[in-house]
Amino acid sequence: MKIASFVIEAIDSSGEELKKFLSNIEGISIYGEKDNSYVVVFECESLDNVESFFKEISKNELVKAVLPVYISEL
Amino acid sequence: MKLTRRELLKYSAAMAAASAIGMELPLPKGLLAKETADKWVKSVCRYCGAGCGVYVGVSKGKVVAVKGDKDNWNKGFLCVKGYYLPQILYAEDRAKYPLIKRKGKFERISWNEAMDIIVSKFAESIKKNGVDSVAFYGSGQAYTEESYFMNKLFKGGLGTNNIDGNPRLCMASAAVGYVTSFGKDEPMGCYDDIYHADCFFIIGSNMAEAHPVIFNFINERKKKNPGVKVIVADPRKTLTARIADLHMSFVPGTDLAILNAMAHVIIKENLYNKYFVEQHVVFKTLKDDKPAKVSFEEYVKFIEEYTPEMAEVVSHCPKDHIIEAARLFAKSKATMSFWCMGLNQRTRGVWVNNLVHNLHLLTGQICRPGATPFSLTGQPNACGGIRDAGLLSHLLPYGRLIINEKDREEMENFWGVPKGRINPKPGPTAVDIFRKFSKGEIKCLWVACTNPGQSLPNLEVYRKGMVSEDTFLVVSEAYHPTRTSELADLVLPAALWVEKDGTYGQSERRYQYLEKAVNPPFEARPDFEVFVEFGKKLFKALGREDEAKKLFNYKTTEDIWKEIMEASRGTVYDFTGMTRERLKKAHGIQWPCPDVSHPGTLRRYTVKYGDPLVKKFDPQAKDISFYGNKADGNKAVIWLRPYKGPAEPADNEYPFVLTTGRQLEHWHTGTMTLKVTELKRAAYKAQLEISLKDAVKLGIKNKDMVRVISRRGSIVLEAKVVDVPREGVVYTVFHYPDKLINILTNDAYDALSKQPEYKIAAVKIEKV
Repeated sequence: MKIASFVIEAIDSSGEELKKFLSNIEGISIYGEKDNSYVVVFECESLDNVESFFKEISKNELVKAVLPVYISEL
Repeated sequence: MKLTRRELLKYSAAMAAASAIGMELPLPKGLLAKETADKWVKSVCRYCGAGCGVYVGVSKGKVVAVKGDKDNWNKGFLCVKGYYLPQILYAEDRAKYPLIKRKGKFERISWNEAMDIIVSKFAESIKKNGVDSVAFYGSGQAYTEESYFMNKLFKGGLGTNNIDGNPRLCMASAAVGYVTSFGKDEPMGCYDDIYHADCFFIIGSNMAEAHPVIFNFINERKKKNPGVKVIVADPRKTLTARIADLHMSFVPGTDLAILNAMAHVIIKENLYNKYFVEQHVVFKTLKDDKPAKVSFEEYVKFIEEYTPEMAEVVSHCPKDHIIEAARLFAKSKATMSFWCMGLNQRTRGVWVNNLVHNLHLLTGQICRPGATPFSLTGQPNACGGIRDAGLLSHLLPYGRLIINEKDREEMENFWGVPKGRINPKPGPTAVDIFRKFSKGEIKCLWVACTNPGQSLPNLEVYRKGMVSEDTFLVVSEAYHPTRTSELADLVLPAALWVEKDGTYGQSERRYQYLEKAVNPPFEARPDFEVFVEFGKKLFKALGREDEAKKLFNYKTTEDIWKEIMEASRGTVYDFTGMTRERLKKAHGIQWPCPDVSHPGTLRRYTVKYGDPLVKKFDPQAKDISFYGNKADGNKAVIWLRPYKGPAEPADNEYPFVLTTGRQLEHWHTGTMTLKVTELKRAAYKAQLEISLKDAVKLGIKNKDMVRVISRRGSIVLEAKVVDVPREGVVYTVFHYPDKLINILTNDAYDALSKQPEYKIAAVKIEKV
């Protein structure tokens, strides 16, 4: 089990929409928000899942920037 | 409520992310509430060479929190290790008192007794066996003031060059690479270049884990600018490689062929910058082992054989990847290269550094925003305290060399010691210091702020050599026992990080002052104070008390900082404008900084982008001048470096290449990070990464125990079957003291830098 954290910054004024979107993804926990940036932890099976999540979320139109911060293994 | 490990890991991950944006995350139930800081002291992270600015929160005489410095280059970002820094100060195994080993057991002694013993051992040895019978092994984690002092004591005071530091093991090849390509050491660029680059070439570095904050900025740059390309050349599909547009996987040790092949493509496709090459570059090769100038045409002829096809055969990196990388590198508006131990810890480390520089010089991707070759650094003060201050056995402070008579005279005059005092012969380097100590040729060795009992290559040999009745080993350490202090004859408890004050210099030539924030525990003392006392008492024991008064007349680190600034005057490092007063206020200043009104220099060797020294050293220069290389008309050097493989490639008997490295949660030999509960919970053991294909071939399943055997020893690890190393490559980390991985690694070293080839050892794997 991989545990990765990200800071995901929303495009202006789309923070709530992004939060809803993230909440529906399996394995996602949102720990907080500051200045339109969300602290997100993603649990998944493999590094490939982390990579896919990173790539997919980076392309999302509600997202301005994604910063991967931490990854660990359970 | 007791937290599960899963919850703790999730919280650790969230806290790291929250700290990156300066957000306070409420603590989960089950953890103690965080104490509130009474004051915040400006400082620098204790770990890697990125040199992140931090604020240290202090309450009731204790460090209770750390947060990122938003006004420093790292913009308030820290990696998870930095966030947990307070815990390293309050570990149970902090070294508390001076200890002497008697009949195999450590006994507490007083500082006076400890100092008397050390002085008498060193003095006795010098009198009986000469000055080359004593040695000092320092660290890229010590403060500049500490390293400069010991360098002066040994080279200028005693007249021996038996002094080297652990940066010899991690970045000597980068240093010699810069010197041979540009005349002087240290990068010309800076982290700000990340914001201007549109192509990143990352080779031999897993930045995502080893330098995560710098990597985050690359990620951010790429995210905000979709046209930005990231090329990662690495035998493993690392976390860094996973964001790459192009991952160039190759057999370890074959990258010289790849880099020459990239140059081949750049020449063949006419992608080189003819004007830049004509104006700023000379070409050199080795003839009869001596550097000799050659023409551009001779270089083109040399590079002819390095076709992408040839490189593919040698490296197993697809030729299309090599061609694509060459095109991206050359055609981008600005290309920035990063590398670290993957290039440096090699028997051809200097050559492969030169080949990266070659690409920048051929294409003119240098000396402008975003275009620069940038060597990443492993330790927080390896640049400032060791490379710059000259604590390596072949160096004198600020770019001066032991072998250069003029440089020796300059330092002899500066230090006020007699002409001829500095020995003209470079001393033994790291591995050779321990080799000589093993043989008893060096009788007394002082190791400070580093852990060679875990970090030296071919470790078992040197560990045995550190224990002898005929020799005397002093270890200054913040923790005890470590895998080195356990071997010592005498252990001195050292103050750690913000328990003392001093200066750090990180990878982009930024010097930063660390203020003392709290007192050291028990009887631990700052190394600087201990070194000065030792110098004075040793000279008294040698009958040179009057000389000591003149040479070592320091009461504070500021006294010696003033001398250090003066030592840089007139050199290409000139930071005479970096007063202690300025450094206390500033969030670091980058040299050159030749006067107190100068703001520091982002980019060197260019008038246009603000290097204040170009006109001083090369008055005719219109813009770019590699003025550190006066001998070649202030031009840089493109070297003809042929492909040579590693000292110990895989073969039939040892069919795998073992490569070692770091993981996000831990740093170096783990003496600090393994004291942090959260980090240790997150990552607590060394495993052997092996590819699925290799695992199937050997009948190894995930979590099976395997024996890894090299020509030097063996070690049992848990297998981690994972899609990270390429077939034929296995990988592990060197952080864990219960698994001395360096028993397996090779101590063969680079002929120029003397840096050992940790990164490549042939091994075989057996299921236990």
